[in-house]
Amino acid sequence: MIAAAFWILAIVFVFRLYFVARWGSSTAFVGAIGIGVLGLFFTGVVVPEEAIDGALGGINFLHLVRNMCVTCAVWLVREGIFAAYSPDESYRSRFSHRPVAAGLGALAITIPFLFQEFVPTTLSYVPENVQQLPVFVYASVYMGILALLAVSVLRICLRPQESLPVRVSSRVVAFGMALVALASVEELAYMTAMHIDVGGSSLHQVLYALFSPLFYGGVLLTSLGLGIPPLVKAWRRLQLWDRAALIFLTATLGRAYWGLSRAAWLAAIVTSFYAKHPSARLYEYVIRSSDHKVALSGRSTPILAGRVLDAVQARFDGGVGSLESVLPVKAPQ
Amino acid sequence: MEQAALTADVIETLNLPAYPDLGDVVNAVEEKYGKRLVFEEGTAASLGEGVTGHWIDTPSHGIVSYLRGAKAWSVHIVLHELSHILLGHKGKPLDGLIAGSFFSGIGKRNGVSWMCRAVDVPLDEAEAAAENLAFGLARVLHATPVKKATKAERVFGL
Repeated sequence: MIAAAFWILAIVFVFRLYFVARWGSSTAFVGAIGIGVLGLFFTGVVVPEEAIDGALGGINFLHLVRNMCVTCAVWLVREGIFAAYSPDESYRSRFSHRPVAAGLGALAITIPFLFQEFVPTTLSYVPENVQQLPVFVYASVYMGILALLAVSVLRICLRPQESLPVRVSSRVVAFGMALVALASVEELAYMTAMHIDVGGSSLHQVLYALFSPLFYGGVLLTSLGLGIPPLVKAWRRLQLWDRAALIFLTATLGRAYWGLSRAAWLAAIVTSFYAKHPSARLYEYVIRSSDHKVALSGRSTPILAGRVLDAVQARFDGGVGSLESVLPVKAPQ
Repeated sequence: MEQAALTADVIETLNLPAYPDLGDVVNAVEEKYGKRLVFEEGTAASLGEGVTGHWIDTPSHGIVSYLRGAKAWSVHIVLHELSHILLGHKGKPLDGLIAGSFFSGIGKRNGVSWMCRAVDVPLDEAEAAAENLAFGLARVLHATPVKKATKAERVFGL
């Protein structure tokens, strides 16, 4: 799940960067996603955690760096969503949106971390060290801040939104953030139980085992949610539906409609992939289709091709009113 | 002149509004034509075998007939006939395309001429130019305004 979240977020990051460079898209979530990718990279999905932590001194600084990346990413996601949903910039004047709040949060996480008795790199850092008060405070503050940020994002993502792609994206992000908030609260319960030594080992194990699916499930959903707008943008810009319909119609009807040779037909299929105006060429198919029905071949159209043609035809028919209603009709003689 | 350039030039001279409808196109053509146009739905029997539409030019007005069919297609036939008018294709009967009974009640001697859209023969230069202009007019007619993105859409990267 962590690996899936990492690769999805990495792909979303690359696409968003490309769209910013190519089409001048908003940069609002690029930083958040980039830092999120970095945070997930530090979970050891590509390079083992031991190796990365070794490069940082081999005393679990990776844990702090990773958590700071996650906090920063969620903070930036929150800022992006507030920017999208707020009618003006007045929300920025609130303390919780000011850079100083982010700085104080980072200090509140970092300071207790620095007071611990450092131990060599371990993959079970929290379970093995949560008895130390500084580690308990560090991890609790981190989880608390993350839960607050996640709930804040969740709340704004549930506000009414007229744009369907934004609404869908927001709802998926909201679901992801709900899981992150739940995971954070659950981890707080686990660490508290471990620190003050309440509950049996089976309870500890259950609480420990619950964290990863909840947290990384939330990260995965958030990544997917943030990936929806670039997908929709690409779909629209590249006119993927029109292109797919054109390729299909050229493959199924090209030879019958235009009398193309085999080589010309194959070339037409290839050019359909990168047609500048696929809808204009679809229109030619719509006209040619009726020409064939009326006068040319009278041959039946394959069922599937007919359905695609009907769908395309409906779009062109829909744009104009009834002919009789817009054209002056000849007076009876 | 290259057909694409000719098409673009002719469309530009029409001074159509942004996102025109068929009525706008007809009005613009009537202005160029200098006469009013009337339209009638034809049948295969009245138009002739393999003919989907025709335009008859009379001294007082023009008559455009189009074959009944899918709406977009019938509109395209009308656009094709309007294109003949815009391209100045007056008075050139297309030999071999017109059946004996075609226009039997009108006759050229009364100063009437015609152009038609036939689909079962290779297009000659005039027909190709008219068909090309018809596709150009269709592009203008079927263009839809680009919806302005909302603030939320812009921030989300749409």
